[in-house]
Amino acid sequence: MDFSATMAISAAGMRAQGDRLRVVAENLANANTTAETPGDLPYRRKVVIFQNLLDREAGVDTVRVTKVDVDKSNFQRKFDPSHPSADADGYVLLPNVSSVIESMDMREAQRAYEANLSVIDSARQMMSRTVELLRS
Amino acid sequence: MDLSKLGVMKLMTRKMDYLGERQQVIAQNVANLNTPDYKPNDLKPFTFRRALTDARRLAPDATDAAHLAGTVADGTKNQKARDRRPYETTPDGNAVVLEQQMLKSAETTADYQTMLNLYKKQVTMIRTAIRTGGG
Repeated sequence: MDFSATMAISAAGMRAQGDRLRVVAENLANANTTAETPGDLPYRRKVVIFQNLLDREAGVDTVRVTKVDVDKSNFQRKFDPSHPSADADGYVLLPNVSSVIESMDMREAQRAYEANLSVIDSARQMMSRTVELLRS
Repeated sequence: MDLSKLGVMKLMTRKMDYLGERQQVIAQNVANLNTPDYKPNDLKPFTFRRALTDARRLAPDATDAAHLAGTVADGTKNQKARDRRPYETTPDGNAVVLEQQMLKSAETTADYQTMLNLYKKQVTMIRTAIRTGGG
């Protein structure tokens, strides 16, 4: 009955969701970061990629953020000739970040984090109740 | 007197081991809530009948080093079973339903608590039997 492995798995899950939340924060903070000069590209939305890998120390498969990749969808275009980085037609390229999608992602990350936390809690409870047997 | 040799105790410890392992499998499922192409696992249910048959099963005797162990499952291991018909699968291949996993986790904890209480009762009974020595 090895509860430490269970808790290690859930802790890795929490860490992964924390990384995901960090990337969401990055995206939201840079939702309006345009390019500095007319030729450059603005901020590209980042995306996390999860994978289930063997963790040698714990000896079990834990989930890990293997890559923080970029979202390859198109940039948004806004018509604003007075902007310093407007191109010849007067369009400014804005980042491909949608705040609705990011806040939904944030809620998902929070929900998954709480789920992992409750699994750790129940494993801890099972362990402590077993130890309490010694008391009576 | 070895407590672990008593039939009831053996069964209860076996069930508690099963529940501990099941909790690990559930933790694995919950941690992989967003991993693409991940299908949730679960252990085959622990029934009294299966535990009895497993306890009575005789493993083939390996008298020579070259003898194979055989493909019949060892009675002491819990077998993983994959859910063949998941409730829903997301477009990226992930089939973990959080509510189901939370329910299983709560079930496991409640079962474990039940087993612990039964174990306590058994030990109290034995202790009473030992204590009552006088006329």
